[in-house]
Amino acid sequence: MKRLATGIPEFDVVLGAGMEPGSLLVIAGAPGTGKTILTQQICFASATPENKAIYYTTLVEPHLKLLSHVEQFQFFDREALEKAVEFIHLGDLVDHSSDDPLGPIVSEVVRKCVETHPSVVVIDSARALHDFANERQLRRALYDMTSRIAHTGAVLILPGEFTLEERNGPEFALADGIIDLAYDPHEPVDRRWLRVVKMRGARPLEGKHSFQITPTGVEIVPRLETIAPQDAPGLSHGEKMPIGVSQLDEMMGGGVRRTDATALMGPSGCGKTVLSLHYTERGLKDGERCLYISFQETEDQLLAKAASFGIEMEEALSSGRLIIHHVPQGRLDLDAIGAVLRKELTAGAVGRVVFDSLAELVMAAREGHRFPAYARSLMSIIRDAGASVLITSETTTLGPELEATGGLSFLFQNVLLLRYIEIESEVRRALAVIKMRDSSHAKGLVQFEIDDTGFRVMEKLEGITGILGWSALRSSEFGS
Amino acid sequence: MKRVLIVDDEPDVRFMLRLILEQGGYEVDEAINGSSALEMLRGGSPDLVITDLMMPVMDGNELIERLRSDPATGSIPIMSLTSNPDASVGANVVVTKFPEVSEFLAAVLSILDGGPD
Repeated sequence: MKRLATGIPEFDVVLGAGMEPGSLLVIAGAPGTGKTILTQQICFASATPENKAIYYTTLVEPHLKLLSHVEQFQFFDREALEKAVEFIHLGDLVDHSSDDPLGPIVSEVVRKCVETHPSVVVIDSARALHDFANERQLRRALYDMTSRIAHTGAVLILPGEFTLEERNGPEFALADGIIDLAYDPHEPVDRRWLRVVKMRGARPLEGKHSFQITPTGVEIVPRLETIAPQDAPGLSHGEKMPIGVSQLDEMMGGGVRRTDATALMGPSGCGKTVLSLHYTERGLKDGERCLYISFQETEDQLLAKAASFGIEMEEALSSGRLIIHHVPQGRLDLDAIGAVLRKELTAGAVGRVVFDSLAELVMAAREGHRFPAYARSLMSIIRDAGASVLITSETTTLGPELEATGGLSFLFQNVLLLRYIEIESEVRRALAVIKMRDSSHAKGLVQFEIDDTGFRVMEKLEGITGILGWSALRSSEFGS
Repeated sequence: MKRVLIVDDEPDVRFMLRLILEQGGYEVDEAINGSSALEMLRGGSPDLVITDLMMPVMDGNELIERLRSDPATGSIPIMSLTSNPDASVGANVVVTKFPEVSEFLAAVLSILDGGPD
């Protein structure tokens, strides 16, 4: 049987291909989690004059208030009211004097389905039905209603603020699909998420999926790990592509390989962003489309920084070959970042991706145990798209950093280290190629400077030891 | 005193309309949907029927159609009260929900010429 689209494409993906006609879906969540908006959006998006959506209310709020809230969303269509979407109050149909108090409600809903063939029927709040009947009466009513409506092909949606105990109730036992919505207060930004607990006849995407309520309605971003493989990084392959700083490219045997992931580690202010800009500039010069995801600098700040080193990016930005996506602290969300990446990778071939930096990405995770799987998926979709990625990672300013890639160094084919060193009472900068998987590279420590042309590699440091410590001591000082 | 029958599935809408109409000097009856309105009309015809459109059991447009097709009720003035005026069929006056009190009473007065008495 053909499944019914919810009208929210990403929700259909999460559900495993929309809703099955004749099924019962329970949407459970505390007040304020977005149940009503989600359900109303499904109604307006899926209803037609031939197959209406019937929105029954029990004791939720007056229709006037419901409408005044829903009309703020772009999916709302006043012209569709009555013609395609009906709001009907059920509360007065309860027969309090009968042993079957919900009987008139069942009769009304079934009659409407038989007579008008709606695609979607909602009873909001289904939780309120508990107030009108005991469990036996409720179970009977819901059984009668769902079994009869199933013959008409209408999807019955029951949103409700069910408590933990009520999750053993008849709605949940009869449900073909159960969707949990939740509001998760968490710094730096609160998050809403949904989880498909059950969906008969489909393969829903597992886990928590973020969503936001925006003027367009509910915007769902499927959890990245559920839609992208978590393959371990494969062998480095493809032709070499220059990083964009000639002396560094020489050290790396011509640069990195296409589809490589490269970690660029270093303390604050040492030159990670400058080198990232060179990497991007080189990609643009070679005709590649580049995506720069920045967590600190805004687009204007990044352009100004590039310009101060003679790196001109405005033309590429205006022509669409360069996409700068700034993620402010208040919008940190792994799945939202993943959605941006997927959108740009599918919008056109991307040669280079920069994440500046890993620390914010980890912070966006908020669930530390989730990050390794997420990072694998992130790398997989970039690699599968044929792009290379450079991720900056901040180390401590003074002294060594044992694991600057957050335990994820196995994800990177290449690791570059920038650091401050003290030489003869001066603070200088040095870099080293720590790792290049399946490729030879220079092993030495070289000095570099940041001047008005950007990143300038200087001479190799000879006779120096103590690279992993703060002081780079001359070997002769060790009394050799 | 002129009688008005309010037909609406929402108790709060019936309550507010009753309040406004009674303060305006009208006598008010209530029905919770089209079907219960037809039941009530067997006991006598009001001077005006004000009906919602989207209701359970029998909606407003069907109620209007039934009233119009019955010679005993065909001439009763009908006001439909709706969120989508384009969806109303057959009413004498269509008023968008939820009107200002003065606008609403003016619409009632335009049908019940001479006011409540």
